[in-house]
Amino acid sequence: MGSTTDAAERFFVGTDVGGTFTDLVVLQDGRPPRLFKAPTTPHDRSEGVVAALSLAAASYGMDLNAFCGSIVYFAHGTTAATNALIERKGTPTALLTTHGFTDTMLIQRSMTSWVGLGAATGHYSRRRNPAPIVARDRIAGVTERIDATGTEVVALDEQEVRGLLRRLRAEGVQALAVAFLWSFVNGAHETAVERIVAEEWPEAYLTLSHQVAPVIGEYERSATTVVNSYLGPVIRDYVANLEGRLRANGFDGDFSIMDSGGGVMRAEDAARRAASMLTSGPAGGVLASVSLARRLGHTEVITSDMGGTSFDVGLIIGGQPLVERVGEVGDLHLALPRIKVTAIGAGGGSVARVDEAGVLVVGPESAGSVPGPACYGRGGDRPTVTDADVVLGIIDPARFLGGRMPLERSLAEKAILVHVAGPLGLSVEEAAAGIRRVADNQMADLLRKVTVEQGHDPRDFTVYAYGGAGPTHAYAYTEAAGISTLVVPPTSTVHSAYGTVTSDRYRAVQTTDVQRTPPGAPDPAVHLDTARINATLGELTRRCRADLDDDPRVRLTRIAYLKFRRQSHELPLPVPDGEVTAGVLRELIEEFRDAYERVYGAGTALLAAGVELHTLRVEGRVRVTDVTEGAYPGSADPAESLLGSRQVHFPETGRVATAVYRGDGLGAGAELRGPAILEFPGTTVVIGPGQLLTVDRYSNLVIDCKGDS
Amino acid sequence: MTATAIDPVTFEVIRHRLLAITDEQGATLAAISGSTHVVEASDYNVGLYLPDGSVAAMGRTILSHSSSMAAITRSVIEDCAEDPGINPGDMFIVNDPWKGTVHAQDVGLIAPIFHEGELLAWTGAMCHMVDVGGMTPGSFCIDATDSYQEGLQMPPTKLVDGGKVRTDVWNLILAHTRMPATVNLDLRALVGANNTAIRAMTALAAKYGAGVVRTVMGNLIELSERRLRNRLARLPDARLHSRAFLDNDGGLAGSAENAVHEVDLVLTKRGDTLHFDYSGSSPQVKGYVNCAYSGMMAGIAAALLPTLAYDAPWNEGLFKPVRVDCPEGLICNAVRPAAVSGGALEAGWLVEMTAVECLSKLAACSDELLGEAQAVPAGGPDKFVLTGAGENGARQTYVIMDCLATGGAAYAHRDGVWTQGQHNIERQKISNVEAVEMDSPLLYLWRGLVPDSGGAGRTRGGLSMGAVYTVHGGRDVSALNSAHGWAVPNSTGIFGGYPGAQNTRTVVHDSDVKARLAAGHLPSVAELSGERPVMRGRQGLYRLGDDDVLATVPQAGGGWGDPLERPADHVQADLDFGAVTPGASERIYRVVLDPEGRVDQAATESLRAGVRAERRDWPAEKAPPDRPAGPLTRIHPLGDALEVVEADGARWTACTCGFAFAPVQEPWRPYAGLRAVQDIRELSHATRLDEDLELRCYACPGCGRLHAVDVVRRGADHLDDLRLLGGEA
Repeated sequence: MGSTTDAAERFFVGTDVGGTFTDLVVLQDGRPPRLFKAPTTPHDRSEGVVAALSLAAASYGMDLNAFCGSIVYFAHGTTAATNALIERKGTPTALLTTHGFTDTMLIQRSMTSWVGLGAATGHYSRRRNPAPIVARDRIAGVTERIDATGTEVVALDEQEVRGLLRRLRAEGVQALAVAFLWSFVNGAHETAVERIVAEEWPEAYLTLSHQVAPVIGEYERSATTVVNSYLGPVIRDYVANLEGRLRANGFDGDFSIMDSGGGVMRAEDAARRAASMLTSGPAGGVLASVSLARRLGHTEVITSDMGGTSFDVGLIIGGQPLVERVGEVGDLHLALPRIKVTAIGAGGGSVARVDEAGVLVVGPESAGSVPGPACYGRGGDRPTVTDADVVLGIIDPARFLGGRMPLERSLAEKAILVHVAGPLGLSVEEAAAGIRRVADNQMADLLRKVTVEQGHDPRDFTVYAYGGAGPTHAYAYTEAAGISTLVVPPTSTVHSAYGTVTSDRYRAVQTTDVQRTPPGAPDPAVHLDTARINATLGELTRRCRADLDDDPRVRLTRIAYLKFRRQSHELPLPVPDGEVTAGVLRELIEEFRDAYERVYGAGTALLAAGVELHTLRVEGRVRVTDVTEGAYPGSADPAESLLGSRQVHFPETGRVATAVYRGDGLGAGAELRGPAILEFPGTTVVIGPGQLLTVDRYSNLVIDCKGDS
Repeated sequence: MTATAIDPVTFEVIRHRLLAITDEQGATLAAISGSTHVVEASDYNVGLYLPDGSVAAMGRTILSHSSSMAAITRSVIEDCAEDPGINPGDMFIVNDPWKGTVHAQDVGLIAPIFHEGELLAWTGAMCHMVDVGGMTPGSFCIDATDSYQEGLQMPPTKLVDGGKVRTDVWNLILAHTRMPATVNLDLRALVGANNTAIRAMTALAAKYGAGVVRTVMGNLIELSERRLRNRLARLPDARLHSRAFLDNDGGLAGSAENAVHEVDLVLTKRGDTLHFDYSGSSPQVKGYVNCAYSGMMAGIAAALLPTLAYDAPWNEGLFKPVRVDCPEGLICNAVRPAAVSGGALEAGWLVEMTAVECLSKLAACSDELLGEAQAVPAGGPDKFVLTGAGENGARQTYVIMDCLATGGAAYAHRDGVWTQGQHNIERQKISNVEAVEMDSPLLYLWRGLVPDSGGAGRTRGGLSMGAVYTVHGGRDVSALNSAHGWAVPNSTGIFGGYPGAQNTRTVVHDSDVKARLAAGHLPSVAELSGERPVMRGRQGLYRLGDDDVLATVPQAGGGWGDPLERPADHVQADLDFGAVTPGASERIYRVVLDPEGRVDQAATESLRAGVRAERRDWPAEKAPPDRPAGPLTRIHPLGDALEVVEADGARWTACTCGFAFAPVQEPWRPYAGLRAVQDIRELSHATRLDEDLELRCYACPGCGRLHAVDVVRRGADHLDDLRLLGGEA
């Protein structure tokens, strides 16, 4: 770490800028993490970050400058990239592509009419073509062609390229994307354009498809290239602004940005890899869960993040986060490996209503943070899940957000009465309980769905819950999904921020190099070209190391994607270190067959069809934050944290006297049986009737949701 | 237990769970199958059914299977209850088109779910299998003249007996397919999907009780039925008529039997019911284009669900207000031994198009539902299958799916969506160019949006995707093409809109394409030298040599409203985008371009005024009736340019300009100015019109606005497309 600070005060800070709150966590050797929240400032997000830093400085009894001067490492996740893409507020960008294929980005493999419509895809009158991020007249066809084998069919017309660059520059374009057919096999034409741009227009922001996404599939590759150029200058300015503000306040340490692929990158790399920042917030939460899972010895985990508007679910399988090769963001499909997170519109702000047929519906519509739930008293008059929690006694209106934002129970009751209880002929309390049951069961259904889709049984998993509303509802959705163990980590309210600071520095480089074995071959391995595989892996390794500054501590993972021919499912398999020989490939294919049958069922492996080796990837990781967290304070005797008791409605028991505890008073070894409420400054944790809570030695709340009843 | 005994919270929790179970079923099916038909084209479906076979919940995949699943469940009950019996752990396989599947490639597996010894429900799964035998690989048997040439067709057959697979039946099925390994996995996928549902439903019944679960299933069906009936009740009673033409009947290209056939729908809406009557359709034909009753029902379902039931759970309830009539032996209710393997993409397709047209015109009778009405979506695809010697010299077959990327139809409030794809697939995908080039001996020269392909109108049909291919790195390459919509515009416009593009295919043999590429030039089709043979809709198999080029343009959705009413600045935007070519903007939209190629607003206004004046002089068949003297009061719309008005105590069909055509009891077309067009090029991107057909344009004698452009047989009566029932005010 490049810091000269006094060793006694070495802070590692993680931050995550969400839509409503800017979360911050401070780590220190031998001390427990401290958590902070400040409102997000959308006009200039760095203001909210500094506000959160000020809260932290005050908590440590330091002035802002002294505090920032003691930060040796600052890690940052932000929705800035995602928002710029969704709101189409990127840099004016042009796309140069192969002549004849200028409509690829518009056609979107025919997904253009339904992408982003969610559950409304069956409502045809609402179909539309998404707003393009590059206008059609800024997509230019270039005379050039390379075929599937990488052979040049038509030479690049360099004069034409120069003419196009002059025209686009004159039109006010600032960023360029170059995506030619088959460039991931032969990048010569794209590289030639790079040279011409350097000569003609060196200040243009430029992304080449074979560099940012060297994989087969021109639509997804082009989209990734365009998005990277579209966001690059925006992110460059964002990072410069934030870094400037931090430095102005005395920060002198290292600065990293979250990469949704699986770690952090240096802030100075972020402008080059802007597309990798998309949806990095949810990825941060999953990564924080991965390190927690490692610590707790859990290999199969469902991560669940319930906030104000959405419920985000990720999977950890075999200790590794589930990664998708192609994901959908901002109505586009991007070929960047990303930690897979599946979301539904279920959060504290989800609106409950009774439809014309008398059916109680909760979400996906959300009251958001403005006006927010009715009980916020900001003018919202429609009942939400949070309103139900208040009416049922789960959330104490006086102590919401540590008492900083008192809620109005009467407004919650009124909204539920008018919109749900009245129409259904129920009492307000019954209606509130109904809203909760509907929401909790929807979330349980999503937990089941994401695991079944991956060929797993949810009952083999542990649930981790975080986000503002997650710990409040997790006891119910975990139980409803048939899962026994639930873990609420002490960092649950700022889990994504915690993920940014605890994640490794990460770089993945990949390429598609398709090799197929003939159908019916008795020994498929001998039909794969080991020399080619070794050369490709060698080159990927070199690039990955170089991108990580040839750091000697780098840990490399080599991954090959295999599939059966004429089958759609592909699986990533680790390639062992050392030279890849026919023997190694034989074992790899065996493993692939076994893994395929583990995921998709015995007898599903179609080895006779032949095997296709698809994409090769090398991932590098370097440990950044080396902190041994100290234990949180707290007592093993819950009685010391007992605040009192209040009436809380549970579906199983109805209204029942429920003990209420100050959550951060509970220390390692504490045990209690539900029903119980644990109040934390940023969340309320619920232990259902009969469920058993144990606080482990890291202050994780471990809840046996089945209890013994 | 009665319907009201379920509290609304439990209802909602179980409702969501039932849909989640169908999701889990679908995920299981896709996971085990792994076939591209299932995983990418999403040509599969799953569901949960009441003990009588009624669909309570279904997967959101291909719409056409929604009616099939109920039909095959009922076939199982009817054929198997006595013998061999229906017992716990049994599963029954069905792919006979006369037992409920759309064609034999769609194989369904149905399983009873027992709880505490009692039949709780049924579950089922169906997927399109890559080959079930028959005379053609892939089992779309273009040359078939009867169903016995179309592969294995199983009536309900017990495949799993008390939890144990009947290996003898399993082997019998595998013995009939060219792709036993893939079909083996598909069969396992169906079994796995059903097991997922059986486990989940049994757990649900254990938690809530079988009665409660069944009641929720029943209530779901009632809920959908109620929602559709309420919607129908708010629409005026009407009789609607649509006729679609099916040119060519299969592998009989050039024969005298290869005529233009009709799918004819009269839809009557009374109160809260719909009556689909296809009795006026052509008799079944010799080729593979027929569909059985199941194919007709699939077409109706695919039209109805997204048009009038977009916000209701998709289940059996939506068919309760529906009655369907069609005598056996017609092209859309063919009886054995008619060939039906292509029917889903042929007669069944046009069943869907006619139903979309009638339902749209019905919806357009209401201000509330006008936004759900659309012109006719793209007609059927020009199927493209390639065979050639691949690696190891083995012959490979490649199905090229570019033909599916068709433009959507226009709506009143918006242009059609470009490359929307098949109307009956909710979430369509096609392959990347690179994926096709990696697999097959083709090199694309172009793949993009086709200007002018969307039907013209005040709002325009969406653009379709065309492609140009040349052979690259293959040997002995042959192509097989088969299309309707070749000499017939299937994707007709609505309320004066023009038809969208027809299927077009150009082949250039022995061209100079390779020389041009080598010279550093990516040529267009027009500039290539070489021989250009006359192509037919059902071209069948033909050779593609190394220097040959193939160019295709699929059909595209129709336009909405008079193209003259497309504002000049919208036409300018179309020109800027490239959606419309300058030639078409002048020929079809009648704008005037200045020397820079920009739309000249003033000159356009004046030209269009002249065109309208000409149209006012078109002869009407009947002299205008005595028109009402009093003020006109609008009652409801008929689209957004015609409306029903009341005057002097009677109801009239009137143009929004105030011209009253006729009392609503009479058709209005005889009172409109009429011009018949034989040159399709005048109105659309298409180039061919069967010599038996013509287009008839009907204009308002008052203002010169076009209200209809119909495709009819020469000499036929005027189309009476929308007649309100119930008459007098």
